[in-house]
This record gives sequence, structure tokens and C-alpha cells, in this order.
Amino acid sequence: MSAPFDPSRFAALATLALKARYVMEGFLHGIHGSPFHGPSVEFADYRDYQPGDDLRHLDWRLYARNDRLCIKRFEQETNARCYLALDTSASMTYRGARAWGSKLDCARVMATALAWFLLKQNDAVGLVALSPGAGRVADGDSAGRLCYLPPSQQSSRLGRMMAELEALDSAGDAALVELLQHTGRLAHRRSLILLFTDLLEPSEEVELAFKRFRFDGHECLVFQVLDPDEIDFPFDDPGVFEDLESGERRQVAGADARDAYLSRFAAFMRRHEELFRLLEMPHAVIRTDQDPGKALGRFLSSRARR
Amino acid sequence: MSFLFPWLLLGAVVAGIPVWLHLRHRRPKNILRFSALRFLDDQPRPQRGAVRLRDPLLLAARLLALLLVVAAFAWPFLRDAEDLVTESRVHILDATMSQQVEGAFADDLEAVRAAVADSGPEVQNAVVLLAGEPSVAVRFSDDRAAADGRLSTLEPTHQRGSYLEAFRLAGSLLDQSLGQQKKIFLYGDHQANQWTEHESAPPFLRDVEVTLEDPPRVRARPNLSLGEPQVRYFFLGDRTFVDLSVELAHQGVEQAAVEIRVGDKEVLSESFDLKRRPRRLTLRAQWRVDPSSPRRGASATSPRGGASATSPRRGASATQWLRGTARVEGTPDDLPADNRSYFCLPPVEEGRVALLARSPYLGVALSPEVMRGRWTTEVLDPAAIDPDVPLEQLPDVLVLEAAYAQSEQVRSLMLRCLNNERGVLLLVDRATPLVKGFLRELGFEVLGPSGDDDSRSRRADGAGQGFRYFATHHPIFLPFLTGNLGDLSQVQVASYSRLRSRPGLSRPLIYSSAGEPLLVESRKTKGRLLLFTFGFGPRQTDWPLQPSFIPFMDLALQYARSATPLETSWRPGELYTLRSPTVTAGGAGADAEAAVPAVSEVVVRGEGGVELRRAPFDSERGARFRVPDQPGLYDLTHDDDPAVRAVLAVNPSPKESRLEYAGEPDALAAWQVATVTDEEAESGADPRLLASLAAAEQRWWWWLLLGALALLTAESGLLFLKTRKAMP
Repeated sequence: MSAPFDPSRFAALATLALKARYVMEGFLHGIHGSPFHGPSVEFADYRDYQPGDDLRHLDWRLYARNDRLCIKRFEQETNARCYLALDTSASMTYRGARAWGSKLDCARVMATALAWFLLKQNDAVGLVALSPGAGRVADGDSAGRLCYLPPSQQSSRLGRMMAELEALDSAGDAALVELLQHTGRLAHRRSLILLFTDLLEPSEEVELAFKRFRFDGHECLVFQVLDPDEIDFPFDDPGVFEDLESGERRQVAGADARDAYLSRFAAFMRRHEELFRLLEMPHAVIRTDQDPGKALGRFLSSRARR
Repeated sequence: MSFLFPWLLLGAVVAGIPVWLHLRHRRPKNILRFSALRFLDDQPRPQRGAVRLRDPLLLAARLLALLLVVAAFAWPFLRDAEDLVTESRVHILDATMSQQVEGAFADDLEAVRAAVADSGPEVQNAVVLLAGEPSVAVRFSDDRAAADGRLSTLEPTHQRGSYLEAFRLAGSLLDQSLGQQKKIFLYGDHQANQWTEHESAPPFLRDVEVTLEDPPRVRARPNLSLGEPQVRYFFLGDRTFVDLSVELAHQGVEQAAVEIRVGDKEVLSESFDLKRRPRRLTLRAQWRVDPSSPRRGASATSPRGGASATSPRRGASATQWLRGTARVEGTPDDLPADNRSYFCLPPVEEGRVALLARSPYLGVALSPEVMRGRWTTEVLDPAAIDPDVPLEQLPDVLVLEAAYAQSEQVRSLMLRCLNNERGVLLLVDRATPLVKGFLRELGFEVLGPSGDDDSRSRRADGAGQGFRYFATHHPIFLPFLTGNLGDLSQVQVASYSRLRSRPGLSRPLIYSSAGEPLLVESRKTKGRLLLFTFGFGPRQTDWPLQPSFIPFMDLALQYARSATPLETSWRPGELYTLRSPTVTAGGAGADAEAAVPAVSEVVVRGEGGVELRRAPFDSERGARFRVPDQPGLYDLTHDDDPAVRAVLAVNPSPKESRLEYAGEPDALAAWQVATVTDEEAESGADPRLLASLAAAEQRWWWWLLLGALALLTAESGLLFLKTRKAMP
């Protein structure tokens, strides 16, 4: 894996599994130990031993000191519950000339790799996304397109999740707010939420939804997937641009519009970085022309060091 | 040109789809679909150019091909002008019995045949024959010659039919007819009761013109008729009598001679003066049927009073089917077909009575000395009652006093009898709490003994009170109307239990002078329950000492026993359903009843044993056949066995005998409703003109399809040329 990343070769990998394995090995190469520590090992209090309790949880030291049989209780007696939330709004389908895939492809690959990794360390992994063909949870007006897999530790969950991820399709319009609302409703308290999105949705409700996550005690990691075209706006020729989500059209003057675009894009990025800093939510920008494994590795290593 | 397929217009809308696709898929060039356009919202909006159609020839070819395919599959149904039906007529021909007056049916039949034959090709005709049930004699699709042949075979009937049903059938025929003008012609005598009995029916004839052919010239015709015979046995001591009542209706006749015959014996032959008599009289006759000693006494009474002559005669034995005829003659009489009335009675069969009573009177009344040949009485031992006796050992009627109902075994036996269509006579001589609770289960509430709070319940001299009312039209009390069976008004009841029952579940048959029910019939159970609110003890009533007691007990037992009486009176043409093959042994005697072989067919035989019809018998569905149209007495036999199993008395409906006519019936206006105004009807286009415009034939379907295929081929060719031209 020391060879330089080649977007075209990576795109040629046939299946999501191959890509995910490639990415997982890439980011494992850069970290040491698990970057995720769920709340499952935090000690809470003692209670008296009752016949039938598991002796593994008996505090023998306390027994030696006080001659009392006590059971140690933890905050939560399961491993961490992780939710992979994928933004499938229409803007995620954009693929520039330099990218190895669309933003949605990139999110799929990273989500699969992380699911693989989390399941290997016995964490429960679930999936939340919006897709036109889904509809497994009949609740609310969007029930017809909600794709939801509850968290599970079973290794078979990976295959199911890959199938769901591969079947994901663009929701057709702006869908980030709806996704965040569904995720907040479905996730248990104090869960780990891994969000893959481009954040390109001009709504106050997005910020409110992130604040809601924080209020509910969730730990949220935001992977902002961006195409290099969105970052540096390489278009020189004037032409008609059509928005992927709203269908609105603009007559863009090419290079003349670039400065304005870049300044607004930078402000947009600064505002979100400030938001995530205030909410103490780790935030990583993933470019679709780069090796997603290395990007993940760097991000998770920095998180592990914290 | 018309299209049978009504979705043609919807199909034509499909032709718009290519236009929509053509415009929808017009995609401007040099458009970049971008995800972050929100950062370029200060850029101007592009100018939208005018929508221009490209390849109009291609588009036109596609549209035309599609339209032709739609038109072809809409299956145009085109008719020539000369074949067009503009008018549909239904002729209703009344064939009921009242049409036999002065050959009215034959005249009307000829009129219908002429109307059908004379109508032009633009008129389609159907004929509805009104008999017991209206039927279609000629359909719209029938050939004229075949229709005339079928009409020529029609005969008048003795049945009673409904104008309403005939008009409904005619209306349903017209709903499926082709003509724009829909007409009904009624050929009948316009009996007034035919129109008035269905005046409240909701309207159902929509935009149908009704013509009453040959309206009546007179309001009424003279007629004499006999009908609705009711006949039953009753017994006095060891003597058996027959009680017959028959309705005599007269109109415009002053003198009538009535003759009643049973078999070949004459029972009554009298003349009656009908002047100033009510239009309907009940003729009542009673005679002894066993040959030992004849009984005197036959009289004619009417519900409004009046009496006439009596005549003693002797009838047949009660061990055979009793068959009789009542005949009336008089002049003038325009309808002789209703002058006879036929009646029959099944032979008397001995019934079984179980007795649980301390009343010595009951014991005597039901003793073998009194009831021999009709009832065998078994006095039950209260200490040895088995409520679970086999079904065939259950008595036909259980007579018990309520004091015995305190025993659970007795209550169970009584309920078992009632649930298995056995009769029960219950005498409430005591009303203990247990008895009250049991009666409450049966739907009766005991309010207390008489005299507790009702000062009217006891006369001043302490002798009790008599009957204030008894149900004179109930089968038990009908024979008492002549007075020969004793005077019920002389019966005194000293004490009784005051009873209240839920309305609808029972009907009182006797009321005391205080207005309290003394005898109640329950309608709640399968078997018949007659509940007396008093006992037959000497302190409670003197009825057992009255001459009416024995006949009453016998009639009450007969009524309680026959939960499902054998129906012997039928109307001409009525549908008969025979459930059980063994009706009665009848003339075959007891030997035939003992061994009834498996029945495969039921045979209806007329006079002299002539076979009229056969109906297959199925053990589940029974046998179904039409009763013969001619009034008379008919025997039912099984297969080839000549033993008579049942006798049917067929009499016409007395409604047909009322020869009163209505000139302008109100019902007709109520049945009709118009949804098209006269102006709309006049402004409508001429159907002949429309037909002339439709100058195409059904074979055009092929031309339409061929045209569509040709256009599709041309479209493909055009597309190929265009593609090749565009290639470098």
C-alpha cells in the first residue's frame, strides 16, 4: 500500500468490498489502537451480589477488603453503538473530472470500511440513509424512502450493510436535514454517529440538528466529502450551470465568477468549522480525488491522540 | 359513426404523449449540472428561448399512427341507416284470472300480435306475460315470425300477478334496448286493486312512455266468488266434526246458491238472499265426519253480524284425507272461474300427551274415555322424570302445572320439548320465586296474584270474572264462533296470576274483564307454548265444568302439536317445495306409513290419478315444482306408488275476483320519472341523419390498422434517413 494513490486505478476496483478493504487497510496503517472508546467500560457504581449474577463482575478486591460480595456496574453494558449516516441528497451525486467517483461513491466506500473496522472490534454498527427505493420503517411522511439498519454486532451485518449501501440511490433533492432528524430520532442516547455529507444545504435546520445531537449526548464525527471542483472551481468558460438539487439555472461567467465563488465557499467552510468546534464534533474534509484510506487514517490518528 | 368502446376519448389522449415527450426531452446544450450553485446565486439567470418543434414530420407521423391504432382498437360499430332501431316497445299482456271475463285475454292477445306484426323495422318489440310471476314471452332479439308463433300458444291463467313486477321487468328490458324512444303498452283489464296495492313503490321507469291499451269501459262487473277456505277437525266426546269457513264475495248479485260437497256427498245446499248483505260474507259449516251419527248445524255468518240457513249432512271418515268443494251459483256472474273453492284435510293421527297436573278435571278431560282415537295421555311421575329421553319418546304436547316446574328435571323436560318443536300447555297455578325466575327466562314477568292491587279483578259477589275478549280469528277459537261448541263468555276465572310479557315475543289470546291476559301464546320458542295464567282447579275456574272445555282442550292440543303444519292450500302456479318425503300416509293407511321406501320422485296427479308432473326429490333440497294452474284438488304420490301422500287444494286469489277497474291509475304517475325534458327530446339530432353520417363499415377497422402500420413504417424510414444524414 505504499504506492501512490491513483484515482483511476481505485475507481477500477470492481466491488464495494474491494474498495472498502483497500481503504480499511490504508487507514489502519496509520493508527495504533482503537480510535473509538465507547461508554461501555466506564464504571458506574456497586450493587450487592445476588445469586445468579455473573461472577466475572464480582469485585474480588472489595470482597477481600470488606468481606462483602459486590457486583460492579457500568454505564452501559454493551459495546459502543455506531450509526453510519449517509447524506444522499442530489448534490452528493456530483462527480468532477478529477475525482475517482461521485461524492456518494466516496461516502459509500468510507462507510463500508469503517463498518468493517467497527465490527471487527465488536462494536454494533447501524445504517441510516434516505433512498427512493427504501422504506423499511413505516413512520412519518418520509417512511417511503428511509433506509435503516439497526445497530448489530453480528459479522453478517457487514454483508447486509454493503448490499444496502450499494443499493443506495440519490434522494433527488435536499435531504440532509431530514436525514439528521431521522438519525436523531432513531439513535439511542450516547451513540456514536459517523456522518458522511457535503453539507451543501443552506439551512438553519442543519445547525439545529447538529446541536440536537450534542444535546442528546451523541458523539458525532462529520466526514465532509467534497469534489475538487467544488473546492477550487476550475471552470474557465462561461456557460449555464444547473443546480443538482433545485434545478435552478445560472448563466456563469467562468473565470470571472471564480473569485466570488471561492470567497463564499471559504466562508461556508469557516462557518461550519466554527460550528463543529463549538459543538466539539470532529470534522474531516475528504476529497474525492484523494486516497480515502489515508484521509481516514490521518483523521482517526489525530482523534486517537486526543 | 359511434364507437362501442367508451374509452376512445381517453385513448385519444394518449396521442398527446409523443408531443409531451418530444418537448420534454428537448435538452439545451452546454449545461453543466453542478452541486454548489448556491455560491453563484449572484449570477444572472439564463434567457429561456422559445420552444421550437424539431422534426415536425417525424412527430406528425408518430401522432397519426398512434391515433389510427387507438381508433382501430376502439372498434367502431357502424350501422346502416335503414337498420337503425329508433323505438323499443314492451307489450305487457295480462294473463291473470280476471282477464277471463268476456274473453278479454283473447282480445288483448290478438291486439298484441297485431301490434308486433304491424310495427316497422325501426321498432323492436318484446312481450311480457303477466301471470303469477311475469315472464318474457318474446325478446327483442326474437324473429317476428317466431314471436307470433310463440304468442299464438299463450293461454289465460288462474293466477294472480303483480302489475308492478311486470312493469319492473319491462323497465329492465328497456334498459338494455337499442331504441332511443322507450315505450310500454299494457294490455289488461286494469283491475283497481292491481294499481292501488303498489302505489307507494318508488319511481323506476326512467324516460319511458306508458300507454294503457283499451281502458275499461265500466267501473265494475257483477261477480260471485268463493275463496280462502279454512277447514279443521274438532271433537266432542268420541265424535269427530269438521269446521269449514269460506269467504263469499258478491257484487251486483242478489241471490246465490251455495253447495258444499265432501267427496261425492253433499253437505250443504242452500240459497242465500244477498240483498243488503255485506260484500264479503264468511260462510261457516260444521258437520260430523264419522259415519256413526250425523251432526246438525251449518250456518252462514258475517263479521258484521247476520245469519242464514242451516243444513245437516254427513261427511266422510276422519281416517282418510278429507276432500271437498264449495260452489256458489248466481246471476249475473261475469267470472265463473272463481265460483268453486277446494279444501282438504289430512287424516286425524293420534297424538301423545304427557300430563303433570293435580287438577282432576284435566285428568278426566285427557282420559282415554274422552280422547280416544285422538290423544293418548301418559301421566308422568314427578319423581321419575328423565329429561334426556330419546327424541322420538318426547310427547307431542306436554301439559303441566307450574307447581311442578319447581323441579329442575321438569324444567329441563319442558325446555327440551319446546326446543324440539313439541307443544307445551303451562298452567300457572302457583307463582313461587323459582317459577317466576323460570317464566322470566321464557320472557314473562309475573306481577303477582290477581286481587292484590286490582279491585276490578274480582267481582262483588266473589264469583270471579269472565272473558272480556278472546282472539276470534285464532285457529283455537274459530270453531267457537258458531256457538255449537259452548259459550266461552260463560267461563268464570276466580283467581289468576297477573302477567306481563315483552311485546313481540308473545300474543295474548284471552283477556279477563279486568284487561289482564289469561292465555298467552309465546313466540320465542320453536315449539308452541300456551301459557294459562290460572290453574284448572275448582277454586280457580269453572271452565272444566263448561261444555266448551273439552273442545277447547282438544283444539289447544292440536294447535300446540302442529308447530309446522302441513300446508295444503295453494295458489295456481305457485312454487311448491316439499322438504320431507313422508307427508302423511293418507289413503294408503297405516301400513304405508310404516315402511317408506327411498323416494326419488314426487308425482302430482290430477282427477282420476292422471299424472300431471314429476319432480325429482333430493334428500337435502327436497322436491320443487309448480302447483298446477287449474284450481282443484291434486294428489301427491311417490315414484310409481299410487298411495296418496298429500293432497293439495289449489284455489285462485280472491283479489282476482274483485272486478273493479281503475281508469286513470295514480300508481303509474308515481312509478314514472322523466330525466329528459320535452325540449331536449325535440332538439335531439335525428338518428337517421346520424346514421347517414356514419357511412363506414365495420371492415374499416382493417384499414385503420393498415394505415397505422404504414405510418409507423414511414416514421422508421424517416428516422433512418435522418440518422444516416447526421453521421459524419
